[in-house]
Amino acid sequence: MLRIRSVHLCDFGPFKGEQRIDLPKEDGVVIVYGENMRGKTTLLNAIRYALFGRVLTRGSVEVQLHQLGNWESAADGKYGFHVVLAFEQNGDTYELTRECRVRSGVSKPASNADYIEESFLTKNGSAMGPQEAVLELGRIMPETVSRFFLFDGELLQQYEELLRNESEMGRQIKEAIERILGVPVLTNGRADLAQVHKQAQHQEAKAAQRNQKTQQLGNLHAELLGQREAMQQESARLRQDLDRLRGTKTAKEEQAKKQEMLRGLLTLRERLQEEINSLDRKISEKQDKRKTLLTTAWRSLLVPRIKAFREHIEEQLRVAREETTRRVIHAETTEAIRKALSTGSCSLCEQPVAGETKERLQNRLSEFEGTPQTAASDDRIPSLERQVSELRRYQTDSSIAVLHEISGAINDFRVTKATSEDRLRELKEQTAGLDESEVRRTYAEYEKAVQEIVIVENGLKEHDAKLAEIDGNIGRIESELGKKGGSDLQKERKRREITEGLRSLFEEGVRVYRDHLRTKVEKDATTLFLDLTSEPEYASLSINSNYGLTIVHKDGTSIPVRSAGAEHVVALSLMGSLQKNAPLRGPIIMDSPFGRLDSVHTRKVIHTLPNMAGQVLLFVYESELEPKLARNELKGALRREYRIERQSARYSKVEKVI
Amino acid sequence: MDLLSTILDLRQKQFAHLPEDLVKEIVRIEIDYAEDRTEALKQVEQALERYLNSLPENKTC
Repeated sequence: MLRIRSVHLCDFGPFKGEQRIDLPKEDGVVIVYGENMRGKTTLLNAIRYALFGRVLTRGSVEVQLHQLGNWESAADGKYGFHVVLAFEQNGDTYELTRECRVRSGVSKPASNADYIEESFLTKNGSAMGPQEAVLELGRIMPETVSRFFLFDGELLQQYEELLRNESEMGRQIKEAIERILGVPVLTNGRADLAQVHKQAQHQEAKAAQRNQKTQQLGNLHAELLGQREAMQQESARLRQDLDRLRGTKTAKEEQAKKQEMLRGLLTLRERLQEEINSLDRKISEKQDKRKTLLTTAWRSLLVPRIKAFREHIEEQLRVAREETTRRVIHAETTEAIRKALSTGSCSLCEQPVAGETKERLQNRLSEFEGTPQTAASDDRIPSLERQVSELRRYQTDSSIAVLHEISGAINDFRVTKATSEDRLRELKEQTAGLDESEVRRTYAEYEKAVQEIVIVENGLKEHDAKLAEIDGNIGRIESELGKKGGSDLQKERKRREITEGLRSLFEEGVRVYRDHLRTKVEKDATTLFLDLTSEPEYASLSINSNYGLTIVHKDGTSIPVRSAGAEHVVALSLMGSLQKNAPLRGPIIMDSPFGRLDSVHTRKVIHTLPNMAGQVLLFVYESELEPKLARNELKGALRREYRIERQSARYSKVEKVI
Repeated sequence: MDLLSTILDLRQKQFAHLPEDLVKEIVRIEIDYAEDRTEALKQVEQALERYLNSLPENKTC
C-alpha cells in the first residue's frame, strides 16, 4: 500500500520558501484546515505535480509552469520551485523530487518553454535511472487511476457519467476503475496468450509441412491460418472503424446537444429581428399618417372661431326662416279675409260674415295690407344653409386628438423596439460564431455515422461468420494432425493445445473476474452507503456494467434522480469500495469534499473515513468541517491537524496544530 | 477473492489440464510487466517454452 510520509514545497503556489507537511506512519486521518484562497487545492496540486509532472485546474485544463511558482518570490526575481514527496510502498521508501528551474538567459518566464524541469526518484536511498523511475512511478501510482486517490468535489461529480451508457467520460472512468481493480492484468494476459497461440498454430503448420506424411495437411493448415490472419486483420480494421464511428456518433451527439441550445437562441434571435422589422413598419406607417394629418392640422386651430361664426350664421338662418314663415302666414291670412269679405262666408268655419265681424275683418285687412311683406329672406336661406353645413364640417375636425394618439403609439412602438433591440444585442453576443450550416452539418454527420455503424456492424457479422467457418476448418485439420506426425509435430501440437487452453482460461477469467468484481464493489459500496446515508428508506446500491451505482429504495425501485449531495455520497461509497477491492491501494486525499453535504452526512462521512483507506488526508475549510466535530467523530483516528495561515494574499504558511 | 485466486479457482474447475504453476507464472508476469507490454509478451513466451521443455517427452538430456 502506498503511504505518503511528507510533502515538502518550495515556492509552490502561495507557499513561499520552504514548507513541509509530515504525515504519520500509522493509519488514520490528517486534516489540513484553510479558508478559501489560502492554498488547499494547491497542496493537492503539489502532490499531483510531484507524481505526474502536471497540474490540472477545474475543467481539466493544464496549468502553465510560470503560473505555479510563488508570486512574491517571483516579484523578488526568484522564479523556480520544487516539490519533494516522500512515500513508502510495500516496505520500500521513496523520495520523489520534481524541480522547475528557469532557463539561463530568461529573465522573466512566461511559458513552459522558459523552464527546465527535472525529476529524481530514490528508492531505499539509491537514485533510480530516469527510465526506471518512470516505470516505477507508473507501477506505484499510474496517472489514469489517480482519480481514486486524489480528488475534489468536481471529480466526484463525474461518477454520474457511469450511469450513461454512451458517455465518453463514462467509458474513460470505467477503464480507470477496471485498471485499479486489476482487470488489465487479465485482459493483457488474454491478448498475450492469443498472440502466443497464433504463433503456436503457425509453428505446428510449419512442422507438419516439414514432414512428408503430414505435408499436405500442413500446407492446408498454413493456408487456412493465412486466410484467417487476413480476415482477422480486416476484422480488426472494421472494429477500429466501428470504434471511430461510435466515437464520432457520440461526439456529434454531444455537439448537437450543445448546438441545440444555441439553435434555440438563434431562433429567438430571428424572431426578435422579425419583431423589430414589424415595429419599424408600424412606426413608418404611423409616421406617414402623422405627416398627412399635420398638413391639415392648422384647421384645428380655427375651430373656436369657425364655431362662433357658424353660430352667427345659424342665427341669421333662424331669423330668415322666421321671416319666411311670417310672410307665408301673412299672405295666407290676407287671402282668407279677402275671400270671406267677398263671399260673405268664412271658408274655414263656414259661418256668415256680416255686421260687426265683417267690420272687424275689414279693419284687419287694412292693417295687413298696410304692412307689406318682402320675400328677401327666402333668397338668403339656401345660401345660409350651405354656409352652416360647410362650417359644421370644420367643426368636427379632431386631428389634434388623432395626432396625440399616433404620437403615443409611435412612442410605444419605439420603447418595445428598444427593448427588443437590447435583447437582440445580447443574443447576438451569445450566438456569435454560430453558423447555422455548421449545426446542419453536425446533424448530417451524426446521421451518416449512424448509417455507417449499421453497415460496419453487418460487415463484422459476416466476417465473424466466415472466421468461425475457417476456425472450424482449422480445428478439423488440427484434429487430423493430432492423429499423425512424429515427435517434432507432437511438441508443436502440445504448444498449440496448451496455449489454446491458457487463452480460453484467461478469456473466461476476464468474464468471471469482472462479474466477481461488480458483485464485490456493489456489496461493499452498499455497506458504505448505508453507513453514510441518513435516509432510512434507502436499501442498497445497484451496479451496472460500467460500475455506475444507482440507489435502490427498500420497496425495490430505483431512485432515478438524486441530489448533488446524494451523488457525492454514492461516489464516496464507490471510492471506498474500490479502495477495498483494488490490488493497488493508496491514500485518499480529498480537497473540500464536504461542500455539498449537510452536517448529518458530513458527520457520517467523517466517521466512516478511517474505514475507507489506511491513510486519509483532508483539505477543508472550517465551516465545511468544524475541528470539534472532526475530533469528536475521529477520536484516536485523527492523527494530525495542520492549518494554512494567511501571511499575505500571495503568501500562505502551513503550521502544525496537533 | 483476488485476481490470482479467481484464475486458479477457474483453472481447477474448468481447465484442470492446464499446469497451475504456468498459470500462476503468467498472472505474475502480467502483474509485474503491466507497464511494459512488449516485455510481458516476451516473458510469457519464455515461460511457455520453459514449460514445454520441462515435459518428459521433450527433455533432450
